[in-house]
Amino acid sequence: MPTITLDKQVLSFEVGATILDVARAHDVEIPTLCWYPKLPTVANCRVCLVAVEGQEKLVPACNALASDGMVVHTENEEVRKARQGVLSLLLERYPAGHLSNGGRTHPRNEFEEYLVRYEVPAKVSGEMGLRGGDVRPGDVMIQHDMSLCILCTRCVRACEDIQQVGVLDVELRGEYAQIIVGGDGDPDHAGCTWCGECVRVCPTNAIFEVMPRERFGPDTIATPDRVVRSVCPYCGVGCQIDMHVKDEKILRVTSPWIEERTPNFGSTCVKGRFGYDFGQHRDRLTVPLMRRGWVRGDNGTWTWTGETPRYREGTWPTVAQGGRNRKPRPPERQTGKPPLTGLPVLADDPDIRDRNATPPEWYEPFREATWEEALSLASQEFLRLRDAHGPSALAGFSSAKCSNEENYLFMRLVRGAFRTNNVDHCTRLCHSTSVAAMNRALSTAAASGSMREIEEACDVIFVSGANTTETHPVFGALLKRAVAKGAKLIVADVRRTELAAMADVHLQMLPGTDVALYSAMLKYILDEGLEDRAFIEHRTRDFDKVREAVQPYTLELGAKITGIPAEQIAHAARIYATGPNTSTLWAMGLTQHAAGTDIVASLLNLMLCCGMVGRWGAAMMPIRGQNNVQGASDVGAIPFVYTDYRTVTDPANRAEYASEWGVPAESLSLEDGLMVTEIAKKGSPVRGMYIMGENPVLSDPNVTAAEEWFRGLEFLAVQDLFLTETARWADVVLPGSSFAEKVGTFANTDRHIQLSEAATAPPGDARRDLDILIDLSNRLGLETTHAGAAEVMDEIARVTPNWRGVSYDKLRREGSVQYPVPTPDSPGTAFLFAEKFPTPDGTALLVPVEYLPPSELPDEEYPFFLNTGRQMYHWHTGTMTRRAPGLDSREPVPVVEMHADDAATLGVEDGDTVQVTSRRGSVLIGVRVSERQARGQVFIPMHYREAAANVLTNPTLDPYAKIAEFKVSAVRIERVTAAIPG
Amino acid sequence: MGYPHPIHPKETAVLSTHFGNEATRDYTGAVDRGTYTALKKALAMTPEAVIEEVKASGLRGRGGAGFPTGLKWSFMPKGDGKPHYLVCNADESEPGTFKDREIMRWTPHDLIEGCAIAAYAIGAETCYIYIRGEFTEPLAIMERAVTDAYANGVLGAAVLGSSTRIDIVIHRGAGAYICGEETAMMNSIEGKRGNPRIKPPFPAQAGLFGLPTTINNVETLAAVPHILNRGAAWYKGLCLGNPKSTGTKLFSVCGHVMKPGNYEITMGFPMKDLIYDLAGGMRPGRTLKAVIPGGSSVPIMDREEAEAALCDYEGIVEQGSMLGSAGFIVMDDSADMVYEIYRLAKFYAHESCAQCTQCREGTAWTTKILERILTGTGRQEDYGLLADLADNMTGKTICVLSDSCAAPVVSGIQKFRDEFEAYLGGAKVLAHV
Repeated sequence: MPTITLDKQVLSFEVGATILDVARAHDVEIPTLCWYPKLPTVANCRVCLVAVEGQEKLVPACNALASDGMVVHTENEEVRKARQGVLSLLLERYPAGHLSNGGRTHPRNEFEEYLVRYEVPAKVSGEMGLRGGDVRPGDVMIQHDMSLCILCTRCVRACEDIQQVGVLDVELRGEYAQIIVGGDGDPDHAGCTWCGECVRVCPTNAIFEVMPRERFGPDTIATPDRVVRSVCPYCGVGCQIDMHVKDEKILRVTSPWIEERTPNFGSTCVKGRFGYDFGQHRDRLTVPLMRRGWVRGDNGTWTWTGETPRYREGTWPTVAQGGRNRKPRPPERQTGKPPLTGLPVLADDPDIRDRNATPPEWYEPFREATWEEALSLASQEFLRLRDAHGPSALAGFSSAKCSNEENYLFMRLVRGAFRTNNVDHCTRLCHSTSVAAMNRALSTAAASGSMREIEEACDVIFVSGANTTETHPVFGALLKRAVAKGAKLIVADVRRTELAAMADVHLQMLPGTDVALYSAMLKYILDEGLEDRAFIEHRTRDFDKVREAVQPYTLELGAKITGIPAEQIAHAARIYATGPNTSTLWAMGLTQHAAGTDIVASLLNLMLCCGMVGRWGAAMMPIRGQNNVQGASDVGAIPFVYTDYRTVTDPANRAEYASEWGVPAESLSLEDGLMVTEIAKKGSPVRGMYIMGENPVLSDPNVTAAEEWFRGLEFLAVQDLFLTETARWADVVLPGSSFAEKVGTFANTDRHIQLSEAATAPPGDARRDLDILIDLSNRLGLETTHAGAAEVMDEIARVTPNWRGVSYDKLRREGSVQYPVPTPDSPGTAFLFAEKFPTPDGTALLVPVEYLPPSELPDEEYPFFLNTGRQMYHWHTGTMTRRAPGLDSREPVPVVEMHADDAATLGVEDGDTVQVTSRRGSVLIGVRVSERQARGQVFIPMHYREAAANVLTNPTLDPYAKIAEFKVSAVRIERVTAAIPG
Repeated sequence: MGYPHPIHPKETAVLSTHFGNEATRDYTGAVDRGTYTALKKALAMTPEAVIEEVKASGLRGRGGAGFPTGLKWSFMPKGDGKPHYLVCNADESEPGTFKDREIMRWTPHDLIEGCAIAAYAIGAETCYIYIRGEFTEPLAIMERAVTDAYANGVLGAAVLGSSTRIDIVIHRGAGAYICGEETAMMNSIEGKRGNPRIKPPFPAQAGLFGLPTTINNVETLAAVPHILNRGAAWYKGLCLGNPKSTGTKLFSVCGHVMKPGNYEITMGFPMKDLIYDLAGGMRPGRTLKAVIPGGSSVPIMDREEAEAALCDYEGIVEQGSMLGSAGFIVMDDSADMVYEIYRLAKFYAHESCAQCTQCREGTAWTTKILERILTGTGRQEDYGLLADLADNMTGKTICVLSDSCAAPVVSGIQKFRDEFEAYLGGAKVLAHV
């Protein structure tokens, strides 16, 4: 190996390493300002200059390649002088007043640390003046103080190369050069996603987060009591984040160092970095609430003294009624360069969204209660209903927002104490069809590969029904990086999403026609002989049936059904099949259909016939939505399985869990439980429910009917952070804990089990969810003695073969681990199925499927397709994000997106109000004309209770997974001129 | 605009033979006087043989750096299967330099021929000619010439009937001096901000669009057909004693001389003769004070140095400066050197791409200090401050723009200190600059 002499140390290096690489590998510190790991090297700050013997000029260590025998001095007199020169030139234009009297002992940023280290006098001539630049005035998330800028251009490159957005750039030349935001100073025009990558890389805090500074002041932010590693509570990417804590408050969130091996490689999106503050919102529940009307007798027994039979009334509008209220106009987005003076300063409480806070009248039916009161009522009623009406009268909704340990204890409580398998969570509304199809074909329920392999090894990315750049922005940025590096991109989506717009082929199909598309692709591939014959022969079975089944789907028929030109289908099929490594990604666009299982099955057929799984670079990846929807399913919070997808109908499984839980085997049900969409439905046997961290009154299809059903329950206990749309109908509300207030593990979309540490204590009397579950389990007669989350994980590991090697010690040591982890010393598994599938005979089952049109298609009365889904700045029912002022400021009011031609036909413009009506209900909502929508299709995000998309959605269910057809319903749209009475 | 002067007997006209001759500048005229015979000859040779011939001629880069042209071509990878590019640097923006302009105006087909030969030698199918934005007349002439060359089968899929493909794309600059720097030029062609790139990688490894690229100056490429036509030995023999600097070179002489203009002389020609004889000497009653020989980017020579220097790469270095682009800015005793140096610094401050700290801040600060000296608020410490800045700006940045700014300041203070003293001592002051 070649060697280099670095300050008298002889060090070996790999050919291709720069002097800086060698120095960093051996802990020799060379100062850097413009250089940052993984960003393109530009060598413009010139602070890393080093002296190389035999070379006349100093060379930048960041860009000079090490060569064998090179002798380098990193700190000699000449080098120090050059560095002092650079630093003093930068200092000349830097507001450094604080550095002259005592401030030198407290350098505030990387640049000031160098000023101190190199003893640069704080003397400034004043001749040069401070630098300028674009400032984003008034934004509540990111602002710039460009007088601090040293033009290292890290922010420009981070935006361009890591996030692949390119909002920032350098404008003008010479001394006038400055960082600008887009062409006109408007981040919205430039496509800014407020991810904060620029904040993270800035070495002088010239680009900074506004809210922490406004709330706590810069000095407090600089001196947190502790920094706690946590996992972002939003999507399934599972970004690791660092929470800065002082005085039991979260000051701000930063992301891990870019070189750490985290699923996010140190990036976050806007929600991860700016959406952490919902937990500190004043709406947080801090004491248990009990519905007035429950009275405790002398013998300690609770009696209901209110209306009978139970039908709850509220003084507030229901979700359906609220949908008919007129909405405020969306705010005008800024345009043009704003003036640089007179910037608005935020008020002390930058919460701008009072209108979205919990309305006071929602609290009216409740009184504050003690934990003893609340839990004794809950346990009394659950036991009463179980004993009076049988276990199937009870059900529990667990939560994909809660940890693996909490989900495990929750399903243990439902199974062991309620004695029913009626436990489910929002996976039902999400990837249940994927799980059903993958289980049938491959006996698996998770992604086969890793997110990072798509950047590292994938040649073709097939993204189907996934708006990844908005719904999983950090993964979306990774996909964009992969494309920038040369990977081909095929996007199948009804909308022209950001990825679709940059794709090699955008297959813009009519809603719900996926089966026809994938079948036509597969038939073309088989006709052209592009399939992977060896893979089909050795690793699959029932190929003949599928070949038979796709025969009718010629390109012509595919084109006719999907509306995509035949040649595009053929082109996409050819790219897909010829890879060599094609990764298959999908999300809600496929699964939320009444034919969701068939749709996923036909995609799996395509994937398997092309052999695009089981290699590094050929990943099968259902992109999971919630931060722990993977884990909640893995630990058995679904009606048919215990942990590891072991069926509840198998007495052997039952015996194992019964013995682990210390209950008689017969007390555990051998019958499959009911699913979310079967439980909350007229005629269901369920009379009492325990809901932890879910909000079905807003998230279920046709919520008008769902809300009716919940109001008629005999007993409802809700455990949540806020008085949600669901919780307001509860008998008992148990104040739980946010992700930042507890220890727990979460499983992300590529099977990383990650440990999230507690940053603060829960507020007031609120309790950790795990403690509530333990307490309630014991009160229900299920002995639960776990001392904490680590012990629960030990139990999960005992009963979960794929997690057997997982422990808190291992997670704390290794940061995260990708399951399967069969043994404690296992390094985890980056990708699966290299040799065989986990089916009994090791082969994958190809399942013939037939195209069926969506159950509700547009007609004369309801002429538009309605699509629903997520926006970048909000999360599901908005419980969290609408209490995060930064996020809510970006998207404060609900809108319906539609094509410009449709808007013109309706006679409406951006911001006008329309009434959208389906066979289920109707909402008033503002118009957003959007180039993403195809003609005849409109999109309503699901986040807004004041115009709930699910008032409109179609509750027709998939026959296997019982997911509803969230993605296709027929609606009518009318222009609204006069106010409509609510 | 005509050509100002007939060929002086002491000139050795090679490139400039046809300057001013309307009749030979279009395609037919050029072919009649022998243009494109060298290309035909080159196509019959192997690319390696062409490179060897150019190497043997001793031709060095005429843009300023003086790097041996044949050697530069030989750095291009062979058999790598990638597209190669040739870029002709016609962004002649160096103050005091106007030779390439005349080549393009009068002998556009000679330049096209040179480009085609070079492209053939380095295996490039595409050549970009990057023309300075302000050169509207040369641009029109070159565009016409390229069109004619295509029409007559000189360019395109079958160059002169051979199986070689060469395309020429004319790219017009947008006014930034820095885009004359070869790597900034590549960025500019790619549609990016014109910032010089860091090396490595060198253009021959990863240049334009990340592919192997050679960048040559107009005058360099225009000399190539003559070398092929008349032989390397002939070209090499044109030197006056110094075998390291061979051939003829166009010298742009401007400033306080009676006959400013382009003069083509053999390398090694005495500078004294160039100024006093060819360029007609000083105005009546005036004496030579200073010469900046390489455009503005080199140290200033005082009268003794200028009169002693020989005009070639080494000869001018011996007298403390550099040949650069051979744009001679001649100043007589009426020149205010402090003001002239200020003007130069201001130019560089305006043109700094703003990447490197030392250049972005140093050029601007230097300008501000000089401005202060001129308007009467200079201080004795300013010598030290300027020297410090110049030290920071020399040899420490990505490209040499900041070195170019520092050179006249350092040499100016050293050689014309009395003029600085006049300002600092209060003997002289300008109301404004």
